[in-house]
Order: sequence, then structure tokens, then C-alpha cells
Amino acid sequence: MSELLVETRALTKRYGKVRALAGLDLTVGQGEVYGFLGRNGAGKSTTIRILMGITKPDAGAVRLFGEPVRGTPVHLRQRIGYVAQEQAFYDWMTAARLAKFVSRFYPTWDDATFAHYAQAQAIPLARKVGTFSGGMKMKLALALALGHRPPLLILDEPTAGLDPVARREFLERVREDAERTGRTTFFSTHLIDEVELVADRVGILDDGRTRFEGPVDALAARVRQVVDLPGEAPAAPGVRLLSDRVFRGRRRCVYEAADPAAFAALGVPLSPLPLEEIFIELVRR
Amino acid sequence: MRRWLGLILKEVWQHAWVVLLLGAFVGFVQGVLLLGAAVGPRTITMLEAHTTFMRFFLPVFALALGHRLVARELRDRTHRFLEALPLRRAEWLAAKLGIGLVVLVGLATLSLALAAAIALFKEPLTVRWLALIFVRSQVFALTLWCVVFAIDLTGRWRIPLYLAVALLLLFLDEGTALELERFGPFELVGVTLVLERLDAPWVALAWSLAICAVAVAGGATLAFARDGTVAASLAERMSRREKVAVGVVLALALIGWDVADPSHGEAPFEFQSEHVLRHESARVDVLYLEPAHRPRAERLANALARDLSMLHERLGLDEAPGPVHVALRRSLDPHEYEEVPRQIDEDGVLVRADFVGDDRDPGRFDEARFRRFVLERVIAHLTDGRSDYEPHRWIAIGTAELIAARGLEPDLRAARWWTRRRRPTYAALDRLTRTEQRFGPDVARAIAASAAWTVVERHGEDAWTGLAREVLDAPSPIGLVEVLGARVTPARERFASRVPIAPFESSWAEDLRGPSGAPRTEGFIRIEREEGALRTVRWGVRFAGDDPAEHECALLHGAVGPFDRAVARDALTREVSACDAVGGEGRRLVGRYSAGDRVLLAVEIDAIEAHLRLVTLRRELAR
Repeated sequence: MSELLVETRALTKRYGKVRALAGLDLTVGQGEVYGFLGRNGAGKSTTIRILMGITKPDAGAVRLFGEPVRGTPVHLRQRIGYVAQEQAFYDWMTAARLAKFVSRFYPTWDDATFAHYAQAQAIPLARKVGTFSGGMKMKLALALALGHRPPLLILDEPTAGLDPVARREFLERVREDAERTGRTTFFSTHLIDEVELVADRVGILDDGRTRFEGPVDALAARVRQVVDLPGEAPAAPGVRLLSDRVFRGRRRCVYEAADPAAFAALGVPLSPLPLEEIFIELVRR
Repeated sequence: MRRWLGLILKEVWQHAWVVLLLGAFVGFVQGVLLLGAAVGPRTITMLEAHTTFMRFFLPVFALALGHRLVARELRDRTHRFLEALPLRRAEWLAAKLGIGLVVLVGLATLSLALAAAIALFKEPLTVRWLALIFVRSQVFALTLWCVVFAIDLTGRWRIPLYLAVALLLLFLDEGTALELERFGPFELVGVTLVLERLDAPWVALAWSLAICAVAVAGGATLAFARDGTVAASLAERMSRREKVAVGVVLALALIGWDVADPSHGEAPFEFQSEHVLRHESARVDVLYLEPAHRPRAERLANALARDLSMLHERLGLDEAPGPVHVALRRSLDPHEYEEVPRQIDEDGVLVRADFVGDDRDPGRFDEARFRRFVLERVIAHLTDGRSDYEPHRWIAIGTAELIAARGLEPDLRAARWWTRRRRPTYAALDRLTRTEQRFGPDVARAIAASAAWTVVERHGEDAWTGLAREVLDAPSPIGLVEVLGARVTPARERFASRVPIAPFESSWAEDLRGPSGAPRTEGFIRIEREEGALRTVRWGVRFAGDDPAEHECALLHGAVGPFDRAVARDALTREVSACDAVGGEGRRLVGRYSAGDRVLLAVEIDAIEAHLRLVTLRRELAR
């Protein structure tokens, strides 16, 4: 893997009695588009808030740009573009004034870059932000996050609340930007198709821990199913039975193996699953 | 630096128009307050407008500012946007704390500057004096803002908290012996804010700064608790259940207040003694202590009841004036009367006097003089003190004198004596307090009485009654507009609308023509330097022909504060001497005063049944 821009080890965080993270490990290499996948409440936003220095972890280690950090310092935050899940902009500001305000916090801010992204997304700069739709606000947030040409872009469920067209446009914009600039992009989502569309690598978060981390292809190769299997479900070393269920009159057994070669030892015909099914099998209890 | 600039500019963009409006409003408010101070009956300095602003308007501005700067940022969740920027939480909180402070301090400074600019025309402002007011105002503004800032971080609970704090303070102030005005920030903006010219209230300043520090620490704890999530969750809108709970608690607190209020159901003032004479009018009672004094008490009660009845009729009052409570106090000089300061909304006037007198020196108690005194206090009570306003005083005194004289000519001798020194003009009536300071209370009273008598004799009873009713019986103003409306018509104009001033002045002078019966004398006061800082007061009276041995002379003296406030005669020390002993080079008062002391000195002579002030000096003794 290339140089790591983001690295967490055994990250834990509790909010009172609620355990948000329980030993999270993840790594994001330079230039990667990393899909951070998890169910609602799995701890995705908490992880991102810790990376942004908004929240401090109870335990564990974080490294950003190779530096060990605890409460991300301002000089590193200035190298991160961040798009939050909900945009809490000042409604009374115009988009242009908001950009002017934000620009003062980033030494690398480039008006031309912001203007480029704003224009590309047809953002009306002279209009007050309070009149923007949710989709337009998200586009503005992306333009603001990219205006200072950050080496790392972090997006926290950026497409939540967008209609399918807007969602697709937004994701394509992110992917296109990553490809064009080589920018490392870390985005969280609970929608597997977004990961399929955009991500190079994926991390699946389940109950505060990393359930899987690796390339999207590796995730697809890691899980296989057997349909209409008679008798007892077979077992093999290195292969774990994830589920054995009957759905609509058909029995389906789903297996997971860290090394796909281990599936051969089961001695039954196996077929791949769609990524969404894999995600469900991995995080379902 | 760019980050701070960004934060500051953002707040300026967001709140500039509100701050400008506040600034303009301060100008307007201060204008109204200054106008009020200019025409107010008890105004000592125009800077009092600044006190009113600091006590009543600055807190309102602080609440408005706190809402905009802190509460709204949290309520609208825009703090999340700030938190997503490369900023520390402490930075944007500190920026808000600083900007709010700058605005409040600026408003306080603007208020002081406006008041000082007006006061500068009439009053001897000093740098030290203004610096003291400035420091006190700024520390109060700082403390106020620290507290508002901290409370606003409690989000939806801030309004119940403000109410709770206000109720608690009210309860402490009204329901306990604690005098809030003597503590910390309340002392800073108390009545002494603009009256204290020399000493800084260090303890109050220290307390205020400590309160500010505790408030900021509390606010910071709240703002940083659980990575700011506590403050954010507190800022959520109140649920219906919470609103009901707050309403119930507030209602219970008000009920509790009503039950616990110590003033609730308090019985009207009443003497607790068997030796009390209660007049049938129920408006006068006299405590006489011993059965032997009952006849005198009865006589006095009857006379006072009649006075009150005449006052009632003359002023056309809706309700009978009073009640008047007179307590016998044998330890007082028969010429001395004490009005007991009380919170007497319903309890009337309580006066102590030795109205018996006979045992030692029959006739030394001057009943008519005492009745005039009581009537003046009753009028002051009726008018909520407005009769003490200098241009109104002569009308109040004149009314009391005419009633006490029962239609006969009042004793005008002291006024005649005065006309040897001053020409009788309306200005002397308009400035009666100053006239009194210069020539003494007996002379001032005689001046007012003689003017009132001239009006009655020359222009008729109705002219006087109409004037007295208009000035003394005007309904108490309840609002700002009424206050201004009631007071901007000066008494002089009201008088002139009934009695043309020039003819009045000439007829008044005519009425006062004639001998006063007082000896022709001249008083003198000299300050002599002694060794070091000590100063000696040399005083005396020179007679031109008359026999000094028939009279008593006195030096009245006392240290006075930094202001040219009226000093009551009783507040001065009296060095009495036979007049023949103070002729020639006079007498010396040694060792009492030093260089730098500010003193009031006056030489009086007792003649024509009055204390005539021959010379009066009010000055700081030279170093």
C-alpha cells in the first residue's frame, strides 16, 4: 500500500452508556477512494468526528498524514476538506460570502479552484444559502471543501437526503475529482452501490469494529453462497458459515473466507453474491 | 490571525446592524434620560442618566446580545459548521466572548461619554471622577456579559434560568435583610456610581471580577463538556413537557413568594402604647408617654387635624392627607424635629419632637413652627418628594405657611431682613434651596411665606390655590412620557400664567418694605494658615449700633462631600457664643480642619425669632 494518510488503531469511544467505537482499525492510503460502510449508528460519524478533531477518542491511536494526533491540530485540519452529513451553513450569507468566510481559515485557499467547482456544479454564488435546496447545499459544501485543494477529502454520508439523480451526480463528481487530482477521499455511507460506484477500497464497520477492510474486489471474492443445498451445510478450514436460511422456499447458505481459495475445500458449487447481499450478511445479526 | 479576523468579521457581518441600532438606541435613551435628569426633582448631577442606563438598559442590551451571539448560534446549530472548520472550540467561543464584551463596554462608554459631554457644561468634572465611573461601568459591563454568556450556553434553559436568577435577587433584596446594592456588581452601579468622586470600591470590584471568572469557568465547563455535545443538546428547543414543567415551577415560585413575602399583609404603622391620642379624624395620632402630657397632645392633634383638613380642601385632594404620627421625644431640643425615614406608602409621616417643653422652659416649643414642618413633610409625602424639587419648594413651603398662619399674615420679618441684602425676584424663589444654603432655613421659609402672602393678598386666594394644586397635586407620573410631560413645564411658567411676574416682583418688594427689627450686623469668616496642613477658622460678627449682648451668635461648620448638595442645618456643628464675644477680631476655631478639606461654614445670629445667616462659605481649604 502507498503512504498512509489515515490510520487508526483500537479506537474506542463511548457516549455515556452507549459504545460508539470498540477498537476500530482502519487505514487509508494516499490517492485512495475509501468507502467507509456501516449501518446507521455503527459509528461512522463518530470516527469522522474523531478524525476531524471535533471529538476526542477515549482510547486508541490516530495518525493523520503520518503524524500521531489526539484531537487533530489546526494545521492538519487545514489539509483536510470536510463535508458534514448535515450542512449547518449561515442562512443569511450568500454562497460567495460563505466562501470568503471559509477562505480565511485555510492558508491554501484558492478562489479560482472554488470558482471552478462552484461553476461546474452550477452553484448560484450571489444567492443566500438559506434559499438553497438540500442538494445545492451539499454541492456548495463540496466546493467549499475542495476550495483549499486539500490532499485529503472526508465526506460524512454526503448523499443522505439527495434524490437519485443528485446523488449520482455528486458521486460522479467526487470520483472524477479523485481521478483527476489523485486526492485521497474518505467517504462514509450505508449504501453499498455508492461504494461500488466510487470506492477503490472499502472498510465495513460493524458494532464499532472493523468487520472488513480491503479492495472492493476482495470483498466480492470473500463471500460465496450455495443455493438449495440438501442436508447439512458442509464446513472447511478457513471458511466460516455466515448464514443458513430459507427464503421464499429456497435454502441459501452463505460462507466467508479470508482466502477465497479455501472455498474449494467445501466441495459444493458456490456462486458470488451482489455486494449489497455481502454487506447485509456481514453486518446482520 | 486570519482565523481570528475571519471570526470577528463574520460576527460583524451578522450583527453589525443590530449593534448600530443599539448604538443609536443608546443615543436616544441617553437623550431621554438626560432630559429626565435635567428636569428631575432630585437630580444632583447629569451623570445620573448614566447610572439609570447602566442599571436598566445595559442588562437588556446584554440579554439581546447574548441571544444573538451565543444562544442563536447553538439553537440554529451553526456552531457545527464552525466546529468543522480548522478552529479550536475555545477560539470561536473566545471570539464571541470578546466581541460581546467589546460591544457592551462600548455601549457603556458611549452612555458615559454622552452624559459627561452634557454634564461638562454645568459641572466641575475631574479626570479622577470620570475615571472612577469609567472603571466601575466597565467592570460591571464585563461581569454582566460573563454571566449572560454563561447562562446563554444553557440553551433552552436560559430563560427559566434568567427568571430564576431575577426572582432570587428580588427575593434576597426584598425578602431578606441583605442589601444587594451594597454587594459586588450591584454596588458598582448603585447610586454612588456617579456620586463617588474619590474612592474606588475595591471590594465590589474584586467581587465582580470573581463573579465574572466563576461565570466564565462555568460557561467553559458547559461548552467543553463531552466535546461540546452537552451545550449542543441543551440548545435543542424545549419539549412540551419541559415547557409545562417550567410553567409549574414558575407558578409555584410565585405562589411561594406571595406566601413568604414579609411585607405581605403588614399592618399599617401604629404606636404600641396606652398613651396615644388618636384624633377622631383617624389621620393624626400623638404618642405622649405620660398622662400629664395628654392635654398638650390633644391640643397638638386637634391643630394638626385641622391643618390636614385645610390642606385637603385647599389642594382639592381626592383622599385625606396623612396620616401623621407624632411621637414625643423629650431628649430633643424643642426647636428640633426629626422625621423618621420610613417606607411609608400607606403609613404617612412619622415625626418626633419635644412638644411638651413646658417643664423646663414653657413656650420654647413653637407649635406653629412645628405644624409648618409637619405640613411640609405631608406635602412631600403627597407629592412623592416632588415638592422638594427646588423650583417647587417655595410653593410647598408657602402653602404650609399659609395654612399654619390660619389666614393671618405670616411672620415676614426674616424676609424683610433678607431684602436688605438681595432684591426680591422670582429667581430667588426658583433657587430657594440655594437661597436657604446662603441665608438659612428660617429666612428661606420667610421668603416663601412672604411671596405666597403677596400672591394671596394682591391676586386673590384662587390664584395661589390654582398654582398649588397644579404644582403639588398633579397626579404622580407613571410612564416616561408622563414624567417628561409633567415636568417640562417649569413652575415659573405655571406661575406666570396666573400672575404676571414683573408686577408680582414689584408688589412683593413693596410688601417687604419696612423694618425687620433685626440688628444691623456684618459677619465674617477667614481661613488662617497654621503650621503644616492645619487651618484655623476665624469668625465673628460686627454690630453697627445695636447692642450685641442681646443676641446669640454661632458658627455653623461641617465637612461636606464632593458635591454641592444642600446641607441640612442639623447636619452642621454649631459653635454658639455671645455676640459681644465675637466682635472685633472674632473667635478662632482651631484644629478642626486641614488643607484640602471641603467645608461649609456659616455665621448666624439669633434675632427676630430666627437664625439669620450673615455669611456662608463653601470651599475646599487651600493647601
